[in-house]
Amino acid sequence: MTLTLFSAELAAASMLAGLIGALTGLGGGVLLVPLLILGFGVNVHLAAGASLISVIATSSGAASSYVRDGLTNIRIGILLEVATTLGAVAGALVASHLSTSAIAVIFGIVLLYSAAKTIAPSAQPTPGTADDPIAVRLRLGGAGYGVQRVPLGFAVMAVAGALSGLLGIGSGALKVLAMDRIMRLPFKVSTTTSNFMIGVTAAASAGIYLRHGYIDPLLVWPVMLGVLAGALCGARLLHQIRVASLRWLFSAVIVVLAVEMIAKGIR
Amino acid sequence: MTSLERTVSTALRTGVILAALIAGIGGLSYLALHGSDPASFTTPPALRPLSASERIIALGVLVMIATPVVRVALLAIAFARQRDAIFAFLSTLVLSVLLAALL
Repeated sequence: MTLTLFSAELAAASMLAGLIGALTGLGGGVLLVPLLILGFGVNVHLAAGASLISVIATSSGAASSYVRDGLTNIRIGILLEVATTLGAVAGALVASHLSTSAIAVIFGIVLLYSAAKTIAPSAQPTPGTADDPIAVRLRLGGAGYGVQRVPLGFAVMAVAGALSGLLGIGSGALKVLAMDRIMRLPFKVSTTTSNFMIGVTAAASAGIYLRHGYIDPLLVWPVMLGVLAGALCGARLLHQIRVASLRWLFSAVIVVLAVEMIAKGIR
Repeated sequence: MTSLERTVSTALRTGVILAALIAGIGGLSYLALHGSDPASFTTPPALRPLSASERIIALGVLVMIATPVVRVALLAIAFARQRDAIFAFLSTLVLSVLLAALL
């Protein structure tokens, strides 16, 4: 296949991954990486590298709008970024020592978790009012909500960062989990603040990926532009279509990808 | 919306658009020159010398990576101006981790 045709197909597939990622709230990376590996035969490390850059693009693009809406809690974002960036550096360093098989298996497990979250989104806990003393000291609360269990949230964020660096994904699902289930932030605040942190988290791994040659310009550019275009379309469509009806379809696709990734790793 | 939120939003948007444009120009110019070459990304990654068009794409990628880093720096400056010592420290800490990993 010629490079031109291959790049066009990559861009189209990445657009689809970005679109579904935006519609499901999973983000582009979680679908993009298996698509590149299983569909295009791309090396696991190179796929993670291309995804990492795409994740920075979509996160920063979306954050630009969310920050304007005033929903993003910038103070919580900065505090938790200390955990996610340190985790991301550790994750990227581990990735450079792990075999591609091991990474494929870990990715498959993360996909299974994502599928479960897509079918059965966790019930929305009531936002807390009582504050963690740390949250009071750091003035983390926002309009009408308090912040709970800051240390536990911080620890889960370090894990989310490590997974991001290890797999080249945004780990948005785990970040949201830490913020709405553990710290009890309102859902909109969790999702927008999680998105706000994703770009910074991914940027922390990018240096290590660059140094190991995991970021191939010829692979990255069609993927990055495709995901960005798909995510923009997804954000528009989100208000117009009923995503709930597509939930089962998306979960089925993710489960298939998960099984294939694990099989690829074990083979 | 505060002026800080406006600045952060503009910085992010500008960075993403600029990076996408640069990478797109580099990519298309590479295809114009080598579009009919065979494509393969199956081999394990290796650092290789980059052609001029690939360097343009790489510049776009670097601008994309720099975008969130600039955002953290803007926040560090803003918190320092507000005399918010703890958050000026935290954003500087995040910035240091980013710079240590990147440079």
